[in-house]
Amino acid sequence: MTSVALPRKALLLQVLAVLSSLVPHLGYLPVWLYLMVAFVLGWRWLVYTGHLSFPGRFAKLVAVVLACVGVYTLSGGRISLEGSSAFLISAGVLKLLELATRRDGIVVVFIALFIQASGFLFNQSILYSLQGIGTLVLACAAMVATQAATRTGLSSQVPVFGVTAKLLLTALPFMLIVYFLFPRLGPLWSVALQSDSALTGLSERLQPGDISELSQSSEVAFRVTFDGARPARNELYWRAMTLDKHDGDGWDKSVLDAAQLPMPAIIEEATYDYEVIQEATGQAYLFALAGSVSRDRDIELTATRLLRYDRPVYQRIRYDVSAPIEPVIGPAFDSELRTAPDLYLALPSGANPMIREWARELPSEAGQFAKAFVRFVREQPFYYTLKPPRYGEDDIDQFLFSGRRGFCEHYASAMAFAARAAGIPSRVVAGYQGGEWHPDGYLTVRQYDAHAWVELWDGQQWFRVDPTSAVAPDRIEYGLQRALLEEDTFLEESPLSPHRYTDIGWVNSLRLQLDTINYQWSRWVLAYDGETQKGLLSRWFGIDALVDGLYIIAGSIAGLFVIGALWQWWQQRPEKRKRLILIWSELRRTALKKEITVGEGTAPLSLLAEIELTYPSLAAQCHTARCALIQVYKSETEDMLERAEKNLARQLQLLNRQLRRVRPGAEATTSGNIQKRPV
Amino acid sequence: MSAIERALSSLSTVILGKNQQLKLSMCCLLADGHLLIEDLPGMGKTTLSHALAQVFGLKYSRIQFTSDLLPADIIGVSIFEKDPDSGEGAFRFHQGPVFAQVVLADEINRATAKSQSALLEAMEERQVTVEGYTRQLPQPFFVIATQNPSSQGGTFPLPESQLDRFLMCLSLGYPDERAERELLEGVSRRHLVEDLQTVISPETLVRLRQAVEGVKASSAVLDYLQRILAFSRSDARFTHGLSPRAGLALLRAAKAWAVIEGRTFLIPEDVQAVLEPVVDHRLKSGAARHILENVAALA
Repeated sequence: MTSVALPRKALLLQVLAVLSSLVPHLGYLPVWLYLMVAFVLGWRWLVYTGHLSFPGRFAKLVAVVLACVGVYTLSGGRISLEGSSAFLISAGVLKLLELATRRDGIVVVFIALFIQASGFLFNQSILYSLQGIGTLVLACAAMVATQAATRTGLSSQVPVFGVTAKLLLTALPFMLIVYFLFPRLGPLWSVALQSDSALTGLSERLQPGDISELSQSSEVAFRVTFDGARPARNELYWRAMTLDKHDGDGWDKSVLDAAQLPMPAIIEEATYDYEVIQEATGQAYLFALAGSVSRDRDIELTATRLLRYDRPVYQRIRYDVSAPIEPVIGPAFDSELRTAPDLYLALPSGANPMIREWARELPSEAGQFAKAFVRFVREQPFYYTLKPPRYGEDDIDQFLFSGRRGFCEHYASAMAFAARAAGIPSRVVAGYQGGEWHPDGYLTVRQYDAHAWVELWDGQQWFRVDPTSAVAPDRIEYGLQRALLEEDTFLEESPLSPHRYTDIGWVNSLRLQLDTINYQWSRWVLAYDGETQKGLLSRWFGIDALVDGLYIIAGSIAGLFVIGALWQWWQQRPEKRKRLILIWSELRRTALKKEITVGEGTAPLSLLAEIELTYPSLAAQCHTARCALIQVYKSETEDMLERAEKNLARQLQLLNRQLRRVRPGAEATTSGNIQKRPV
Repeated sequence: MSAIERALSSLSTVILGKNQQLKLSMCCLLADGHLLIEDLPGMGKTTLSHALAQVFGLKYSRIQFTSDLLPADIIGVSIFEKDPDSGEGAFRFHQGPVFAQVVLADEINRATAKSQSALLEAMEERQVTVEGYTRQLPQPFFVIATQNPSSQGGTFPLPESQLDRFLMCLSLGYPDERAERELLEGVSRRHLVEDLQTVISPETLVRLRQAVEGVKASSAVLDYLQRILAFSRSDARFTHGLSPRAGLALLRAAKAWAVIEGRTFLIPEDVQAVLEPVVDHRLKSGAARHILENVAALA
């Protein structure tokens, strides 16, 4: 079978579909890939205009090798999400270079859809989903245009977008059925496709500068909806992890964050009940107010009274939490601070002598100490800034007694250090503080709300002290933007971010509306998981067993298919094709089987001559058929044509029957020198 | 032996081993179209055109195109002359080489666009207008233009719109071994051409052209032709499709081919036979093969 040529419209649509599918990936693609796209498009354009031919095997090999090298340098040999999709994208783009036949066209359409789908690994917001629909439309249209290429060459008459719209609308019910009812299977295999940059968030080690860096991002960390009472803004301390190991440089995550406690029963007295929709972090920590408990089965309680997921969060998750209005953070273990106080008192030897000296003069009772420290911060000329100087050796000393410029992690780190030096068990807590109340009643917490504060042990329980509130009360009461108003460094690196312009009314309301849409999108569409599905199945259909559900799904899909097929059949009952054409194509098939070369464009008389040449025994019937054929070409009126075609059909059928009976190779062909051209 | 066969056999005594090209160039002449030959120097382009003129008994002239060729060098010029008898002076028109029945325009792409268009206008209108006075060109009027495809330096390639004016574009190619030996052994081609007898008189040519007009194209063949046109207009290999003029040209050439084959009706093979010379220079090289492979002859 020779390859089928590709219509112009299809070529254009295929290229557009591939380009559109690249959109979700634009953020991280390396420069060389953009150059490659431009190069490939340029080459394909020159092929189209006839200035260049399709690349040869060698050129293609070079391109593939270069792309492989590029992908390798991008990922450094590790399997990363970016590297893998860059590989897929470069393969897809290079395929455009040999886009010539229908087969290539179909492959390209599938690649475009796959590239688009892999984009959802990076971003699932509603804008990208809409863009994905755009790609889907383009890809479908490309497919329609590709398949419309018929041998008759009349493809230009197919209304491509009309057919596409019909197809997609027909598919809509199936999509809904599958979305609602198809079992949410876990991944069949799991490769740690850790993304390098796609996931922003807190890391397990806190060093000066980490949180200020995180503050440059306005990405959503999580969203919270309170059911009933809401806490005041200055109480919104979302704990993610506790850091209790200080090595002179930074703070490391507590080993106790991994230890598990039995989840206590839901507190009956006054509580805040809230639901969190958390974005992927690639880590297991969750965000919760102090003292929170959750009934979700996947959620554990750590010894440090944090909520923890039982696996890293690679997808957006949703969980319900209750927190007491007056939280008490008890000890990890009853004996913890009696037997191992060293854990919360340990300091690296030597460093920061001044603060050790100074701390000895502070009260050794936790509450008094906190007051004293906070007073010190408030009275000295401390300054809250996103751009603190770099402190070198003895950095806490330098910060506290000479530099006095720092971000929350500096204050928290200094206070925790001083507390330990004063003999008070302390730890740094990393998480988020505050968030933005949306008019619709939910709270959006973004990366720039990241915060660090201190917890001190008063002999009975841990209590929270936030030294940042002393130097920048606006940070706690109103958020980072207000706190940095004077310095004007809020989201300095993204001058176009709408979060910078909350004082411009329409920008802000537009931003808030978009945020609402995205919130509803993630709450109702993306967060629809296996649990919700089970609930839905039992509520709507009274089905509890998954197997029954599967039967229902299979049944309804099959039912819809049958209905659709019947409708299709009724709509276009096979148009009566001309009998002559059917017989003609049958004859061609038979001829192919009998080792006669016949192409798409082989004209009837030439085929007859070929048959006669190969099988002289059929000469008589060939001759009759030839006469009938000539009558067709000679006919002048429609009447004559109809009669001639009828006769020709009969003769060709006879010939076909005879041809079927001959055995290839049985007849010695006369010398190949016979003039093959007929008439 | 029909007149056409006799003409072909006498042509093939001069141009050896190129029967297909000879047939096609005759087909072009019968279809009242102009011929473009793309080939290297020395492949027999001049000999072919001269021989054609000789066999058809037509008046032959040759124009060598160069970059300083002026339209007047093609069309002719009015010169002020004094009548020796009366002594009165007047402008008299001296016909240029275009006033012939077979015009060989050698290396047409060497001349500037202005001179090219002078010839191309004459080809289209079959008349020239000089100083407001229109002069008819002799009938039949057949232009054979040649181009050298290999050295394009300092040339003015014909734009697509002017390529479209040529019914066919052929290339002769090297002769095969046997023809070449015969060529080397035989006498000079120039003498052979001069000795060629007129086989087809102008009256016969007119009759043959009428026969071409009268060839019947059944709807089965016209369907095929339309499929070819539609395919060229939608396929991704081509930036643009065949124009209606190209469609008419294809039909006319196919009809002339049918006459050469001695038929009074068209079959798809006629279209296929002339497809490459008619279509390739209008679309791109290899276009005809792509069409032949993809458009069904009967559907």
